[in-house]
Amino acid sequence: MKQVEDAEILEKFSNEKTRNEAFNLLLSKYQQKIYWHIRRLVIDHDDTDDLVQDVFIKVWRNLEKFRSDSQLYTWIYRIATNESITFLNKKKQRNNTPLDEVSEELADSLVESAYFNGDKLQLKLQQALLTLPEKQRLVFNMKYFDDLKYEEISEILGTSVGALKASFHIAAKKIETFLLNDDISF
Amino acid sequence: MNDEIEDKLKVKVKQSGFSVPEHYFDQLTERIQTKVSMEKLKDLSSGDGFAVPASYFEQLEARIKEKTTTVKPKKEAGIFRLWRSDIVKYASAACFVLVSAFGLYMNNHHSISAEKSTDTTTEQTLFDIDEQMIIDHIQASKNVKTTTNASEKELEDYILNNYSQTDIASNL
Repeated sequence: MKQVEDAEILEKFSNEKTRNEAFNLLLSKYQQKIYWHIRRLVIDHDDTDDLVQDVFIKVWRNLEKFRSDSQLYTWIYRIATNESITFLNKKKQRNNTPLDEVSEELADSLVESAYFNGDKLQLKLQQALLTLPEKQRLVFNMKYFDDLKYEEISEILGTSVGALKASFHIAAKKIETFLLNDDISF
Repeated sequence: MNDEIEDKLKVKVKQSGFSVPEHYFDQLTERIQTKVSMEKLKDLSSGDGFAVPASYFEQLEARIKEKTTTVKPKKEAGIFRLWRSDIVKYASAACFVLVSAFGLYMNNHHSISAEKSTDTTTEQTLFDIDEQMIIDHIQASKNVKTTTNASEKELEDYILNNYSQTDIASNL
């Protein structure tokens, strides 16, 4: 099925009569992308499920105010990223645990999860990712899994392209070292 | 011809003028190697291993729509008629006038009786005081007035008899 252009979604949304139709088109186009973006950050499916709904409710409420000076999908990604980071920070505060322990908890939950059926290498890659600082993990995920361009990531995170490239390189280097230390050659 | 120009240019402009960051080429190999490793990793394991419950995305879309686009119809505000017939309407108006008039009358009556009651209370208090006591009180007031009219000679004698010179000096 041919995906509808963002401009068409926005135009339809601005009209009261076609607003619901526009939102349905937006959901069909972005819900899975946003789900996976959040899922890779918060790991747990149920947490992701709550967050993805919150994100689209925010999108629904604020889409009228959206200005076309940024792209629609980078705007949605930004909302999703902020919601996810806020969630992770609250989780740290709630449990009063330092970042590395939260990462350990998330790594453990990955092994126990009914909704993780990756192979050994995929599991190790996720565990390696969980040892990274949040920003590096974000950049790596967006570049490696979502195939976003640095310019797009820059718009979402509000960071310069140069800094993003450096972040990705550091993340990739750490992951490579982590996997090699675990006797995983590639 | 072209070669000639090129040679002349090379003599004049030996370098392109571009430069690279310090230690760039030292790090370049490592950067390329890391990129190659990531590409290999991608080839070895496509995807991230995460899964979702069956039909999850279909249900998710429905749940989000339920919270957003499904607007519950607002209940139309009903009109409640206060007066169903003319008789009730006029009877209500008459009752309102009567009640207002009664309220106004009671309010005025209450103010007059309150004023009257204050006067009565004052008269009653005076009546209760003994006549002799009132006479004594007036007499005492007169005495106080008399003493204030003492002559200067009397006041001077009083001060000299009752106060020392030091007291007088310190109060001057």
